[in-house]
Order: sequence, then structure tokens, then C-alpha cells
Amino acid sequence: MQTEFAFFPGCVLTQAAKESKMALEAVAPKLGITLKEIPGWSCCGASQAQDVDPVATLVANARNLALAEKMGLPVLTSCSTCLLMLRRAKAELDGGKKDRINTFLAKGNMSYAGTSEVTSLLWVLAQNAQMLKSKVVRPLAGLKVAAFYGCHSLRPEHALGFESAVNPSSFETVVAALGAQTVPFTKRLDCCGFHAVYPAEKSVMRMTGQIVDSAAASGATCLVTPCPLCQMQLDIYQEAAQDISSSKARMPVLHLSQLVGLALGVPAKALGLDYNVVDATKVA
Amino acid sequence: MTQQFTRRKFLQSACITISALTVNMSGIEKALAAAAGVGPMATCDVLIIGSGGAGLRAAVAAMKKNPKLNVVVVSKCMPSRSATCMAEGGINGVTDFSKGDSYELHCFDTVKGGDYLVDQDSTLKFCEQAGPAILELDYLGMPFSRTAEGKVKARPFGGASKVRCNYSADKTGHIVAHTCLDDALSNGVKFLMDHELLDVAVDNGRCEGAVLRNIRTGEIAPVRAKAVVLATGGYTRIFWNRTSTPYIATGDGVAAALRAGVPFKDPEMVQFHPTGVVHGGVLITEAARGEGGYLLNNKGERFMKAYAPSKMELGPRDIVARAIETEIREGRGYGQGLESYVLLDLRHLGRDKIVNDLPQIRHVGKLFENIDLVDQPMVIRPTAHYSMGGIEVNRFDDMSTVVPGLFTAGEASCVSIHGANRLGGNSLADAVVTGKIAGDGAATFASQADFAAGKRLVDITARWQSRFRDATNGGDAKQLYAIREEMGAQLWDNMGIFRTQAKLDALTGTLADLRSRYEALRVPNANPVYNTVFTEYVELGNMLQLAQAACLAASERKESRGAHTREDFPKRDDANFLKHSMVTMDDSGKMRMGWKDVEITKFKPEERKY
Amino acid sequence: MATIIIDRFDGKNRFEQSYKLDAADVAGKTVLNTLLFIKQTQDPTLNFTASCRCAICGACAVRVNGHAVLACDTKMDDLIQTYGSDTFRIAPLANFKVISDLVVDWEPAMENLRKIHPGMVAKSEFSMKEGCRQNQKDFDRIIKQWDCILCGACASECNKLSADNRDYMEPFVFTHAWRAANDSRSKDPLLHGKPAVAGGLWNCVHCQECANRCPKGISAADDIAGLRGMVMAKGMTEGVGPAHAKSFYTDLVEDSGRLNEVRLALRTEGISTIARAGMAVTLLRQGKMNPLEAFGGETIEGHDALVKMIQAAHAAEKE
Repeated sequence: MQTEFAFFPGCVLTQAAKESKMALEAVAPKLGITLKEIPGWSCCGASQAQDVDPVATLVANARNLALAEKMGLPVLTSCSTCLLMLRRAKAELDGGKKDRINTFLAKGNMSYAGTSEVTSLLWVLAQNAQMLKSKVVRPLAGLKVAAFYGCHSLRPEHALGFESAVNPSSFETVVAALGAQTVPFTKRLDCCGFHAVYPAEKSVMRMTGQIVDSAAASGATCLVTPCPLCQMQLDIYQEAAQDISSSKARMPVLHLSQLVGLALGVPAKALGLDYNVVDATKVA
Repeated sequence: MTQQFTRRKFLQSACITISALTVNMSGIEKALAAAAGVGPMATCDVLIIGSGGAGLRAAVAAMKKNPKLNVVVVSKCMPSRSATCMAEGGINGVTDFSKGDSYELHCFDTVKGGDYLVDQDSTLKFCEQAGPAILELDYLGMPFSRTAEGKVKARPFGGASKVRCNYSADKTGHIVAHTCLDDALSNGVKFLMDHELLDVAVDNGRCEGAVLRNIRTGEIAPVRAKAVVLATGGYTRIFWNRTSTPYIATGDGVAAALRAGVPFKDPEMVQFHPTGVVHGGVLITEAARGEGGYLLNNKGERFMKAYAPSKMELGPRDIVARAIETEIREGRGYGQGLESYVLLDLRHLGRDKIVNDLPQIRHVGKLFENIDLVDQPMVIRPTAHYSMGGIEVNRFDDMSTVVPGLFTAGEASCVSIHGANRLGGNSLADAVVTGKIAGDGAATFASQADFAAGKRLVDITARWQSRFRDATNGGDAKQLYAIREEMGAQLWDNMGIFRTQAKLDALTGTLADLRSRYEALRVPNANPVYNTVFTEYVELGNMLQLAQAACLAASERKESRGAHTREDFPKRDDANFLKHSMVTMDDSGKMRMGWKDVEITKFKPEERKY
Repeated sequence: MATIIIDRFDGKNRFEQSYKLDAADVAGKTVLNTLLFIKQTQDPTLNFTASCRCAICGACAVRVNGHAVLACDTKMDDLIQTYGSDTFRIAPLANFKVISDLVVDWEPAMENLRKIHPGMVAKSEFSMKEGCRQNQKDFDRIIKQWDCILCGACASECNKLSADNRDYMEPFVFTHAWRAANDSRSKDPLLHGKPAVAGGLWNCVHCQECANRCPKGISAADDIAGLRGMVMAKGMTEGVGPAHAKSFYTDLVEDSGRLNEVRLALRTEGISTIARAGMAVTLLRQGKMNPLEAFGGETIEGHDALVKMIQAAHAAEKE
């Protein structure tokens, strides 16, 4: 098992979703994983800057990957959009743009070689479920989890190259290893709408509300998601979304790293559960 | 074109249902209609049946010819599902005169390719318009593969003495279809989707309009039109189980025209493409052989050496098709009956070649036969591919039929441009050129015509309404599918690549039996909403009529010419048969054989050698 | 034994109907083969549309287990493997009005296609008589988007369309707008770009369903991104959508190199972000926001080098 990673936190882990980083840094040592943050990593573009200037974002991500290559380590990120952006950049570079982009990287004395793979926390855990299970000190028996994948951990399938986008199982595998139970819910593979909350606010609120309602209707105790953007959307905007539709359903939304931390015996405070907007402390 | 496309025009150009067409009737007509149980009749100026390349081109041409006309395109489904999108090779048209090519040479190649059953003056005009059509399509936004100078690129193609098959990668037909659709949408063409043609009404020697069935609601209603254009595609679906064409290409327009008194010209002329998959007949493109594939019989021999020793697998389509069928007949094929086959072996080309240059063929192999061409040879057999025959065109200059107000274009029509055998690349050119001519012609006619009374429309509507009630009153649909399968199998065996009097006589009897069984057929779905089994019932009726007409003509044409191979008359007989077959149907439904001279002007018939 | 459960509609009532098939009847067969088999041997009242049966006409797209596929191009064996089961639910495409069983209404989608003026208008230097000139590279650049067969799979799975279709259009509409606008022969890209914006270009939620479901491998999501870039470059920079996207870019290239969330809100909505004051309070209370970030965050190590690289890229693009 790969135990050392070049860690790419992504922008929201530094502030608005800092509890995700807290939890990740708490669970990593317990899993025997060393996360070395990439020095000077830049925003991945978040699929937003890509609209404005796809060349600049490709250069930026080539630089991010080159920085990881310098460390001689594969990249691990726990933000799904960063995962997709980095993987797509890598595919573009490996697919023929490498030489051209390297002429630009050269201006900063850097070079992309193509030696660093990009993976995510969810994938690493799913690939090492037995190891994960062996580290569980507090099996989350009785906890009913609505495992919400979020778009960019699944689609497009050919860009992510990990599992079926219509019938994935990585998340269920991980939750089972933690001793908890996943409950099927209709919105499991749908979109939270985070990326369009400004221009398409009403639609996104409806999408958010439907996911929360769906999880509640299936009897889940909490929603869990591997992507901090989904977590932010479903958590921070939950009240507003449910008020619009007059729905009474409320559901704590945990980061994957927080759920893992609970099972590994990390105290709730260290996992940043206080920072979750919809009260998540009762899940602890 | 876009400058006039104001917001008002946009609002007017929405897709419509039949009830939204303008209603325009006199008091007497209303009474007539009411008496027959038919409501106020919808009308439009130009009614185009069919939304493939020809129909779409006709619509745009008609609207441009006279923007005041109400032009509607009727489609059995959603407008882009036609056979046009299935063509792959390219679209012929001379745009480069620097290497000795000319419209005349294109015409000669077409005439010779058609084994001299081609109407030469009309075809020369066709070729003269095919070249400009290529440039027009480019101008409209069709993406073509390009030469180094940025011009439209052409490739060599079967039977062409010069390079003039213009192409867009390996899916020229799909690109043409969508270019025409984009152009139609941008020009405000109105569509009547999910409406099928039941009949065309002709009264007092004049086309009154068409009776349509709204498949969505089941409503059977007449549409009075000053001009009707039939662009419904070909009829190779009569070979139901072995054809490359789509399920929807059932020759509805050709059958309706036949019933309306228009001759069905050269119906026996059906082109068989040598390589189709065994289950169903989907095409395996010629490129497979062009890249070096081998055709093998059950002895592992490259049998083409016995039929075309110098060209081998790259001989002309009809020669290769006959070769494969001969191997199968003489016991050197694999499999049984309709599922007999020979092998197309590409393994020696290597994995890389197949994956990079022939991905579509490999996909088709896996999809239809569960075979990976990299590891196994492909199982193939000839397949019915194109209908050279069709609705008789009386005047090429406006694509009109003998019935005033009734026009036709595309594969449904027969000028004849293709004669007894069509050259690759000419069918897309046919669709775009004749479509435009028919649109112009229909618009010109409609601009000067009045609406017909509509009496026959009312009659036909009433008959179809009661037919729906009768036909959907119980029964067993398995009978429908059985009749259809048997029609296809019998036609393949008896009117396929090799024909004899004995087989055609037997077929005549079989088709008559199938016809009686069809008359007694009922289908167990009385729900009018999107009743597809009734659509299949209507289509089967059309196909049986077309099959009977084709069989009659095949029986009477006692020679071999182009795609029509009579083993009992193996030679071409210009003295007796340098003429078009013309099948007509009288009011009692009886079919009669007739003949029509071929326009022979510039090119004296010669032996067809390549 | 394979079980096919179909969501049916007879024009009045919706109901589900279950059909049982022998394993041998689906082995090696496509979804379309299976539908035809059911219709021809068990239930002739079952309605669906099909035409070419070789993945070029787009007539037969349906949903299997909630995800759109092209029926003629999808093997039952592959589905059995993906789902680990031989029971399937087949439904009509989502986000289309259902006419009957698996048949949907294409009229509204065609009208949306009309809005973006799908036919290209050629530059004045070209003519009907002479045609156009285009080099092979420019053909290669747009030809993938011409693979679109209007099957509707992208529209079926579009999360935005499901949430609200009134201010959005089917993803393939944006692909068609992109290809006409980006054709080197095209006179006026905004002829297609403007109505794309008016039709909801900035409302795409980036769910990537379209890119994932397209049987031809087209990414309407990428085309939407491309159109957004184009309309912004041509001056259509007003509105929340462009402001939001530009904020990320500004942070990356001009500011710290990482997203500044406080500034994101301010830049996206300007003064009207005050309406989100309640949200801001929540975030502050939860410790998720540092208002000092409004003054700019810490610049990343190596930002100068990044800027040089991007400038080099821009310079090269201009050539």
C-alpha cells in the first residue's frame, strides 16, 4: 500500500471547509499514511477558471503535478473537483500537450514528466478496506449512512477511471469497513449543484433540498460525502433550501474524513465537528 | 437567409400539430366533410412527406422560392432518423475541373454504372447540379474533409473514372443529414412529427393532398395541399431480414403513389451490397475490403480469384455480391438458410490497423455478431442496400409526377438517374439535388394553384378510420411478424441476387398468399395512442404491394442488367429491354406491367466492362 | 431468467409491467433486440422508437436502471456485468414529455435547437457559388461535435434540466451552438452564442452527466465551458455567471494563487451580496469564514513563476 502522498488540499480546505483538513490530518497517521502538502500548490481552477482560460488552468495544473513529481510522490486530494481537474489536466498532458506546456513551465524552471498519479482519499480507503477495518476501534454499528458520492468522484467515468459511474461501490465498501450501514436513497448519484449556486440559485436549492429529503426518507442518520464542495452545499445551504420547500427534514452532513475519524476513535473536536453547520455532534 | 429571420417569423415557425394548420374550406366542402364524419380539413400550401436529405432540402427550397407559402415537413418520427444519416462513403459532385473531370464525365460514369438504363439528359442535368450542390453545402456549414488548399476533399469511389466522391471522414451521410436539418431549422421549416402517410388523394387528375395518421393521438385526418412532395425514401425493407436500411424505410410514399395511379418505375432494380452482417444485414463498409480484407469460403479459399482475378475483393459491388451468393449456393459457405455466410478476414492486418483505421467495423462486428475482428474473421453476406426504382418522375426539371400537384425526390423517386445499378456517392447527391428541384417545383406549382375540392381526401380518410377500427379488433400480432419475416425470406430466396422465371413465378404465388393472410390480419392493440403495431401493419401492407410490383417487373424483364440478374437470361438484351419497367395499379388493386423508353442521347449503350 | 420491468404509459395511465425472458434470449443481445423480442413475442402493445439499429440515427435512447443508453448500442451482457443482476428497469428518457411507454416528445427540444440558430452563417469572403475554404485542422477541431446524433441521452441525465427546465436547454443544444460558433468559416459566433446565454448557458451545474452518458463520447459540458469562454472573450461579461468564473481566474493568476472565498462572493454579486448577510453570519459563527480575507490572502510560494508560465502560454497562443 502506498503510504506517502503529495497532498493537494484544494482551496476550500484552507478555510470554508477547514474541518475536512483537520479530520484528514487526524486520521492519516492512524492509517499509517503520511501526507506531505505540496509546497506552493495553486488553485486547480475548480472548473470555473477553466471557462475563462483553459490554457492558463492547464499550465497551473501542470505546475501542480510537476511540484508533486519533484517530491517523488503520487498526489492525494480529498476534494472531488480538484481530483477531476488534476486528472483531466494529466490526461491532456499525457495525451500530447506535454511538450508544448513544458515550454511554458520552463519559464519557471519546471517540467512535467508524467510520473505522478492522482488519487483521492475515498479511492485509497476503498482499495485498502481490509487495512481500514483493522484500524477501526469504534465500529459505527447502528449508524445509517446516506453515502453521497458527488458528481466529480464519479463522472465522467473515462476521466476518473476508477469505477462504474452508474453502479459504483467504493463508498459502500468504505462505510462497511467502518462498521456502519449504507442506506440506499434515490439521490445517491445526483448533483448537489454547488458549482452553479450563484447563477442558478433556485434550481440548486431545489437540488440540495431533494438530496436531503431523499436521505431523510431512506432513514439515514447522516449524509456523508467525500467532496468538501458537496459537504458545503448540503450543509451550509441546507437550512435555506429546506425553508424554500418547507421541508422539515434536517440531516447532518459529514466529510468522509470525519466519519473515518469517528470510527478510528478520534475525538469529535479534533475532527472539527463543531464547524459543521447542521449539528453533527450527535453523530459522534 | 438569416436577415429575414425576425422574431415574428420565429414564433410562427414552431413545430405544430395537425389542428394548428390553417383551416380553409368552403361551405359545401365542410358539409361533405361533416357527412363523412371528418372535421374541418387542415390545409397547407406545400406538404412534404419525409424528413431525410431530400425532404429537408425540398422544404428550404420551397420556402425560399416563395416565402409566403405555408410549407410543412411530415415525419414518421423525429426528423433526423432517416436513412440519409446511415450513408458513409461520400457525396458525388464535380468541383475540380483541373484533372479532366467534367459534369459530362460524371454523367457518363453514372450512365455506364447504371448499365444504360439511365435517362441521360436528366442525369446530365443532375450532374450539372451536383457539383454546385457540394459548394452550397460547404457554404451552409457542412464540414468536409479538406485538401491542402482548403477545398472540399474527394476520394476515388466505385465506378468513377475521376476522383469526385466528396466526403466528411467516414460518415458523410450523417453529416449531410444534420447539415440539412440545421439549415431547415434555421430557415423556419415547420415539422409535423410523429405523423405517418396513409395515402395520397388524387381526384379529377389532380393531387388533393394526403391522409395522415397522427401517431401520437391516433387521429386519422386529411391535409389538403396545393402540392405534395413524396420524399419517403427507399423500399429495400421488403427484404425485411437482410437489408442495410432503417426499420422506418418501408417505402410508404412509393406505395401511396402506386395506389394513387402513379407508375412504380424499375421496381425490380434493387442494389445488393456485398457485405452486410449476418443478423439483419447492417452494412460493413467497403473500406474493410479497401484496407485489404480477404473474402473466404468454407475451404479457406480467397474465392474472388474465380470471379474477378485481377481486382479480387475490390471488384464492383454487384460482381462481389454475386460471387458470395454463388459460393453459398454451391455449398462453399457456412451456416444455413438466411443465416448462411462467408468470412471477411481482417486478422492479417494486425490489431493496430484495425483499432486505428477500422474502429466502426470492429464495433459493428462485436455488436451484431459478438465477434472481435482482431481475433476472428467477420461473418458476412450480401444485403439489400438501395432502391434504384421508385416513383416515376415525369419531368426532371421540377421532379413532378404524371399527377399535377404531386412531386417526388430522393430515393423514393426514379428519374432514372441510377438506372439498373447505382454508383457509390450518387445517392446523397440525388437526395440534395432532386430535393431542391422538387421543392422549387412544388412551390412554383403551389404559387399558381388553387386548393382542390378534397372529396377523395374525405373518402380515403373515412376508409382508413374504419380500417383502423377493424384491423385493431383482436387477432394475434405474431401473425404480422410471421408474414413480414416470410416476405423477407421469400424475396431473398426468389428475387434476391439471382432470379429465374421459376423462382419468380413461385414468388408471385407466395406473395399472393401472404397478401391474403395480410388482408385477414388483425392486431391486438386498439389504443390509438402511439400505436406502433398499427404502424407496422400499415407498413407491411405497403411493403407487400411494393414486393408484388417488383416481382412482376422482375418476372417480365427477361434479361440481366445491372443489379437484376436473371440466370435464365444471363445477357443484357438492349434490343428488347432497353426500357424502363413501369408497374401501375388500377382502381381494383390489380397491377399491370408497362414499359417506358429510356432517354438515350449522348452515350450509346456499350458493354459494361471495368 | 432475465426480468425486464418497463415504466409504461398508455396515454392516460402510468404503470409498470414486468416481462420475463430466458437467459438465452438476452445472451449476446442488445437492449433494442430485447425490446423487439418482447414486442414481437410477448406484448405488441409495447411502444418504442428505433430506426437504424447501428448507433447513427439516435432514435432508440432509453433509460436502463435510471441511466440513459442507446438501446441498439448496449449489450445486455455488459449491463448484467455492470449491475451484477439480470433484472432491469427500463424507462423513457427523463426530461422529455412521455407520449407513450418509451416514446418521448421531441418538439420542445427541436425548438430549443432552433433558438441557437444551428445553421452556420458563412463569412462574407465565401459564397454559395464558390463554397468556402477551411483547413483540415479547423475541420478536426469541430468534427467531434458533429458526431451528435440527437439521441437525447445527455438531456435525460442533465441535473439542471431535472431541477428546472424553464431557464435551461438540452446539453446537445449547447454542443450545436458551440460547433457552429467555432467553425472557422463562421461569420458571427455570437449568432449562436447570444441565444445560448439567453437560453441558460451559465446555469449548467457541472454534473458531467452529459459527458458521461453521450454514446458518441461528446462532452456537452466541455462545449458549454468553451462557449462560456467565447462569449466572455467577445464582451458578454455581465452577470453572475461570468463574474463568478472570473473571480477564480483572478485569484489564480492575479492574486494569491488560491481561491479567496470572501472576495468570491463580493465579486460575483457585488453589493447585492449583502442579501446573503445571514449566510455570512452563519459562516462567521461557525468559524468557516475569515472576514480579513477581504483584504487578500497569502500569496502562494512560487506565484511569480506561475505567472511567468501563464504569460508565456498566452504569448504562444497569440501566434
